[in-house]
Amino acid sequence: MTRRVIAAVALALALFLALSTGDLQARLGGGQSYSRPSSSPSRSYSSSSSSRSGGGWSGSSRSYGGGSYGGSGYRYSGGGSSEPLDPLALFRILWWIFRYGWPLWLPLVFGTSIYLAFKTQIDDTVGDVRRWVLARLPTPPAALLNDSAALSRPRPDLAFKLERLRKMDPNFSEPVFLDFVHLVFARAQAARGAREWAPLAPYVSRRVIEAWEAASRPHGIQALSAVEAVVIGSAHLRDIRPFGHHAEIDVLFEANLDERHAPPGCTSYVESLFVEETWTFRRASGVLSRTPEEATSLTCPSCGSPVEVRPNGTCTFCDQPVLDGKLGWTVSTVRSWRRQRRELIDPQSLGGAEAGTRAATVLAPDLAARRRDFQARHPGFSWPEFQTHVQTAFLTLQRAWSERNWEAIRPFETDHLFQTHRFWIERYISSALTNRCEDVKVGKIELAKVSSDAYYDSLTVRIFASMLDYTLESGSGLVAGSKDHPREFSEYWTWIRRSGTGDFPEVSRPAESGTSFTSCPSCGAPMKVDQAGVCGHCGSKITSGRFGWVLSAIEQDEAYSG
Amino acid sequence: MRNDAQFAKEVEAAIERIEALTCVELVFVGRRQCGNYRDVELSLAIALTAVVLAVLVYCPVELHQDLLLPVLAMTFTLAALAVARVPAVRRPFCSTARMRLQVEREARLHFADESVAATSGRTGLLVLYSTFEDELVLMPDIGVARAIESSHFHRIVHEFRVARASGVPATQRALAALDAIGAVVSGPLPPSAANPDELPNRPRFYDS
Repeated sequence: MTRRVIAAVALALALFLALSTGDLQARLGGGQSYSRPSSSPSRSYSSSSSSRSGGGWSGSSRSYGGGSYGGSGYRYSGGGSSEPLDPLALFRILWWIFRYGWPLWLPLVFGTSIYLAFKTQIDDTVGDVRRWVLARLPTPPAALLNDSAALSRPRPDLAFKLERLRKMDPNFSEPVFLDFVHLVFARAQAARGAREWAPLAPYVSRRVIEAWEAASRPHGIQALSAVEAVVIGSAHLRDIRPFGHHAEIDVLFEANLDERHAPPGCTSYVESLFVEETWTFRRASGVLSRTPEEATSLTCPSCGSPVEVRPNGTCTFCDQPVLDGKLGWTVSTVRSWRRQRRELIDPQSLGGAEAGTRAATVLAPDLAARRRDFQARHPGFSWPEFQTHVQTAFLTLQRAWSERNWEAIRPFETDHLFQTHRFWIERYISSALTNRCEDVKVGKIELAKVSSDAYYDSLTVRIFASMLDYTLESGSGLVAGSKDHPREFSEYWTWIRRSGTGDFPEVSRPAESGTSFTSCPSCGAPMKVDQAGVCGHCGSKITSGRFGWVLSAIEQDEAYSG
Repeated sequence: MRNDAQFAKEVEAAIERIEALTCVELVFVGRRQCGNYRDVELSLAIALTAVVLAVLVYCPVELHQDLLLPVLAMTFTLAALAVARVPAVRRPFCSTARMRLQVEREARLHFADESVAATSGRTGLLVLYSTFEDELVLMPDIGVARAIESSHFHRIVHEFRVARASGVPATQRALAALDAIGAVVSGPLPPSAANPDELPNRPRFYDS
């Protein structure tokens, strides 16, 4: 308010002073010209010409020197006479600028006053424009950067853009989106081999389908016959562009898959590939994200029926246009960075990084407030019980990893995290390597972040631990790590759980502080869960987060940024 | 909306109907406008005054110099008043994000002013509708937030905005939103045996 008052007073004073000068009034009064100096140059010439009549230039308009111009106060020193400096010269200059320079200073004062008055709004607009421009700059490919690690690093302003996206779509949930993109990737790869695109029509754009069909027919001959064993190693949000009429999200995938080729007249063969691709998901602005159940069902995004799309792009059941991201996320672009035969793991590259263990914990700036809010919403939550749950899960996961037993991991991991771990277990197996984690000791467990979105509450904890970490190769023994010296490390683990009871009132309230790993939290039967996270006894998807906390992400301390 | 007595009765009846099926206590608040848009009003008035000044400067018709300041002052005053009084003139110059933010801020203030938290089970739910912004905000207390995912309330607000784009009248949309709220809260939060009416059902309307 003070700034605006000052700006308003300055503007009013400037206008008043500007309008109060006689010259300006005369101009506004009807176009009278400026009053000229009282004596014209011709008169001064006539007065001086007498002194020059003897030669030189007589009557010439170019007689200079000696004559003074009128009585307006402009005096030029010359002709041998030296005059003292006018003490008011500076004032006169300023006054001259003020009287005759108003076309310059008036807009400046005006603009400055407006800026001061609305500084906050102007700065916000400039910031938005800047981010709008930056968001539309193309992301240089890793080949140009000569830095493949840059591919996996998200843009620094990702958190801001995620918040911006949530303002437009309050139901957007990162865990739900990651589960959705995992499913689309796996189904699309399978469809690429089978060339059955109908079920995926609302989720993959026509342009991408045509590009894949062209790639599967080198030289016009159909070679690719199937894509199998798709295992996604990782899926990271690389960039978000929530501006304009469409929102776009870039997701970087690393995956293993097998392509079966059967060219006519040739023996079929299987290519085991590691691929690294960026998929751009696009959706119209103003669309609300679907529930986790709807997002992972890949049905019609409008009515939920099995996908049947007419040639004009409308659903046969609900007649809504479902293509081109009008109602949900659609793959609009696929950029392939790497496509190579699967390599064995280099055992020297294994071993957890110790860098960052001594660094301070990255705490969310709103941790205290969020924690209070969470505790108020969940009075039955006990932090010591949750720590015990985290510790049990940590030890269970390390044991399952050593034994390469994915079944033990499955009950407490989300679908996409389980895919990642299964990817690495299989790579170890194919490389004839075994990474052992023994004598695991858990130290401190520190709460780093509490957050919630439309569907999930999430708690991020930092776990400090030490263990004997070494790698054995079949037939040759120890290839990396140490059997005698424990390695100290820390990791950030993010746990999620469905908030509220939602549409399933018959389901008991989620476990406040932990989940049993030995019995199904839905039916109580001994734990028996398949790769989809479904209990073999009651059919409940126990990894959905409805029954307790499930592990959603594991990040190394040097990579975690909050 | 304040003068629409019929709408007020319909809202009250809807709240009574919903609260018979749930322990949630609904509080409906209607506002003509949330926050102030004085900067927009003054900016438009300044812009119009500048246009008038430019017209006076370059117009071939002579104007007496003594009339200049009064004309400009009157132009500024009338323009500011007109923009302040005519929402249709002001709305195109107010961003959607700003309007939503101001309505949400006022909702937080009303949550305290209306004592929505003064229920035994913290089952209050504030419904705020603002006419100028044409926005609806739902603000549940922690007892409601604990039992029901916020996605349901987001969806109700989203459908409210979609109906706005379709041209459905505001009163009809507000009543539809109340019915949708009732459908969402009645399952997870059934009525208690006594089901007391802890917060008044009559809607409150504010002009400013």
